[in-house]
Amino acid sequence: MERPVELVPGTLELLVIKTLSLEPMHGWGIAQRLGQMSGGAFEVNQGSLYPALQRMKRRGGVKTEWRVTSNNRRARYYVLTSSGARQLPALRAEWERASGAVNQVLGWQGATA
Amino acid sequence: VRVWWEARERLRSLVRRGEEDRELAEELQFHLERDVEARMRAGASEAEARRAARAAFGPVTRAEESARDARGVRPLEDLGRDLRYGLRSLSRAPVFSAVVILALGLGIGAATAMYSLLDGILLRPLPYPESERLYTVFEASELGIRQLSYPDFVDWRAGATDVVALTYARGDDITVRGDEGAQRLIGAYVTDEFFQVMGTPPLVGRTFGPGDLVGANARVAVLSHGLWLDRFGGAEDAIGQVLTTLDGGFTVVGVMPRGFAAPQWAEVWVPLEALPPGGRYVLEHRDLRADSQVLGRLAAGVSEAQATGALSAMATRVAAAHRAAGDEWDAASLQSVRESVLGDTRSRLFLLAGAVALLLLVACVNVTNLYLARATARSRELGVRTALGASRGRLARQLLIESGLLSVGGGVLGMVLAVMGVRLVQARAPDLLPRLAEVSVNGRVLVVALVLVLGTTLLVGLVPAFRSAGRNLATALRAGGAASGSAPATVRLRSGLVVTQVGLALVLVVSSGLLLRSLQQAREVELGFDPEGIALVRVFPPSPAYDDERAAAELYRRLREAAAAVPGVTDAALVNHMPMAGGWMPTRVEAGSEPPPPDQRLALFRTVSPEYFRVAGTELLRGRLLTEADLVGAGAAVVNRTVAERFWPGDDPIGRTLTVFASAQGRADYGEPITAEVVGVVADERFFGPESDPAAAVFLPYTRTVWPNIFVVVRTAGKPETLIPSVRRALLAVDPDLPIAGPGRQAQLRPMYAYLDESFSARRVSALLVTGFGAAAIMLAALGIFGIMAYVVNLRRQEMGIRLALGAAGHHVGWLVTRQALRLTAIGIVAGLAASSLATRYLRTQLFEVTATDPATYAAAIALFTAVAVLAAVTPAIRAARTDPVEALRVER
Repeated sequence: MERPVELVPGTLELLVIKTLSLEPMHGWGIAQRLGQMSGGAFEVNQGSLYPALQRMKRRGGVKTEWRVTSNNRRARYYVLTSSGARQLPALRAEWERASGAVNQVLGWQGATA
Repeated sequence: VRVWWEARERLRSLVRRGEEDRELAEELQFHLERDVEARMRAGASEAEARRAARAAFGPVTRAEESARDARGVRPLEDLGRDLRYGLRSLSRAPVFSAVVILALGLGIGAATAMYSLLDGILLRPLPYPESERLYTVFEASELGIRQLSYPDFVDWRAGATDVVALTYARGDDITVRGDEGAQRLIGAYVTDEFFQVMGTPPLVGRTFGPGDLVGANARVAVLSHGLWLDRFGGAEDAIGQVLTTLDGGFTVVGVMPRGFAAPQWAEVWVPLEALPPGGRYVLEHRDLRADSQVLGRLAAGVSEAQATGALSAMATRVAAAHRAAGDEWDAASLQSVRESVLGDTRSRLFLLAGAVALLLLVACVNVTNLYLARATARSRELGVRTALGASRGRLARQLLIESGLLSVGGGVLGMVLAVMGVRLVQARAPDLLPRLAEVSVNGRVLVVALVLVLGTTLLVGLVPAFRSAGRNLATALRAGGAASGSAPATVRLRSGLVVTQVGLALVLVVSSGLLLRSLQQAREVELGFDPEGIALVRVFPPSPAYDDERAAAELYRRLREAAAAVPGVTDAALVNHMPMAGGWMPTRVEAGSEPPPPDQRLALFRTVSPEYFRVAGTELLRGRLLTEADLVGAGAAVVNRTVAERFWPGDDPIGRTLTVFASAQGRADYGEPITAEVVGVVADERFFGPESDPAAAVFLPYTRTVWPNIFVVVRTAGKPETLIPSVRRALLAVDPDLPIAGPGRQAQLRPMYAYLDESFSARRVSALLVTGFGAAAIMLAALGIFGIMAYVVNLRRQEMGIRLALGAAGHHVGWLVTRQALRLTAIGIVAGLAASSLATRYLRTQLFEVTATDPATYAAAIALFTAVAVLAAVTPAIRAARTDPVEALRVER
């Protein structure tokens, strides 16, 4: 089994917003969806997921509501707010700039190696 | 907007904390169960799935903690928890908490009360707009300063209008009638511009000024705040009411605010035009300057020196035009109103403030010491908390919070003590300080108290907090209890604190000793008369019935006889001025001999009935006293020893003649020479109080020049106050219109020692306050010594056990402890002596007949502290002596 990748700090919020932009979801669902979408590469640690969700809630990027799941269980769903949705392009651009820079560094190192 | 949103979310989280925690737990539980289900769907057994899910999830509480942290209310929640924990932990140590709160309460209370006094008396502005431009104006010469007469004032006013606006106030009594008989008020008869010059608006109604004082309008009165409360109960409808006097009345038009006291003796202000016919002589006499005051407001931009120069020029011109050549009173002198009001108050307040600062310091040092002791005792608890993951910062914060809680407690107690203290001083010693009645514990004082609380928290809490936070965990846990790793350092630190405490307390005790000795010395002064068993009242015969000299003399004779006839009164006498009771009048003395230096040519002009010397208990030194025959004959006088020695040094004054100048205001013979033969010499009286030199005095029969008012003095067999009602009735039976009542002291029949006590009151209150502070400081120092010795005994328990096991006597071990306490105290005493010798220099002006280095006082203080050290060490010493060697050695190290 492939070793799970450790998330680059700060990217979790971007991924959560991306996930929630599709549909409101509960915490477990977000973790599952992130795992699936990354092909099992990301295993989101509950210890960082829930703090991140609380942080985003505090800043108004998401709001929460209790809903009943498909198999009739009560769960807290996270819903992307309009201000949270507006953050997506900015966060994405930031990520691309950062990852681009990292790739550039790696590429340059590769060239001299 | 974002900040606001966040703040709201945080606040909501804090408020709904319980609910949020429940929701979070439910959410995490849901997550865990979904995971288990997913794993079971993938084929794992339930137990396996549960285990794997748990492992993947990590510790539930950790996740919960992190999520909760992310809500951003962690610090606030922690604060709440620390507060609750602190309260619980303090309530488990009630004695410790009580002692700390008491010590801080004493210190903060004294400091707050002191600041109230400083604020109310020195810092608060006077009730006059731009009071820095207001001055009391005097005539000056090399001999000193004196008041102006009204004609001189008129000339000065006309000549200096562009530099300074002057106003004149003449003090004269106003007899008003009321339901409870006649009352005497001290009226200030003021010139038109008075209220303009002072500038203070009235509290109620209006004042009066130029232009509105024509005819009947001249009969208006403005009340002082005190009189308004006293006579009208502070009611607004006092305006328009009439103060009924024997010669008409005054319509009340206004009330001045509290603290408005210009001149300071004024109880009511009326226009100068309203002076009764019998009092109008002051308007013409250039030599009559008693009982008046000239006040001036400098024009904007004019300096004190400029104004003094301009007025001095007027003084020179007036002296040249109206007085004999060579008259030396040809200059002006200005004293700021602030100076007139406050006088030497500043030095007295600063003395008390210094004492209070010392007490506060002692209290803080003491509390720091207690905290250190407690931190040591708690080192195990703190060690355990560290081991369980509490950060050092968190522990330091916990300790600071506990000291903050105690400081707040001390602050609350201090505020209560401050309010009580200020009220007590106001009630018991109202004349101690000027403006004392207006002192209040107000908003500014509260701010200062708050700063004190914060300051003491930091001061006393920081050192123990840092030390505890920095302590070695392993040692703390291993040793527990007393013997934690830094014991020697702690002993050193705490010993240093005890030494400091003893030193500071010694300064206070030495100061209080010096002040008490001064008070005692002042009380033992030979007064020249016997104040015990005397009561007196000053009778102001109402105008116009007694304007005539013979009518007044006849009234006085009947009053004396009526008083003497009261059962229980052994003797009664008349005198124009009584020592220490207020009022005096100097006269120039000429004796035909070589005159003494100019400043010694004046003597008090006293007029007496023959019984005076007997009633007052003044000793006859030579010749004879005045007799009934002298009342009708012309020309007998008695002088006191000072006059005899000044004018006839080395000679027998009996039979010599002297000339004085008639000094009764308003009499036709005012200023006329009176020649008399000296028939006797009496002992000196300390006329101006026990701490002043005896004053020269010439005594004439009261019929020789009849004073406009008189003291009736009675000597009683028992306590004089029991006879006051019957004497008062007897005097009123002579004439019910006599004002033997009123707000002033002299208008009431009072025992002589009341006046004497007043002359001691400032000294007594200072001495008692500083002694109280000193006593508190000694108690705190004793507590400090006890604390350190108990700590040391605990530390050295094993050593004591070994000594006892090897055969040392119990008392020997006890002595070891006592000796150590004595050594600490001795170091503190030496430090304190050095500090005292510096500090008591500032005390010098407050001492009387005692030097600042009085050996007896210092010796007593040293003895006192030695005794306190021994007492404080007794319990620890006994505990050391009774150490059970077996148990002490069994204690695990």
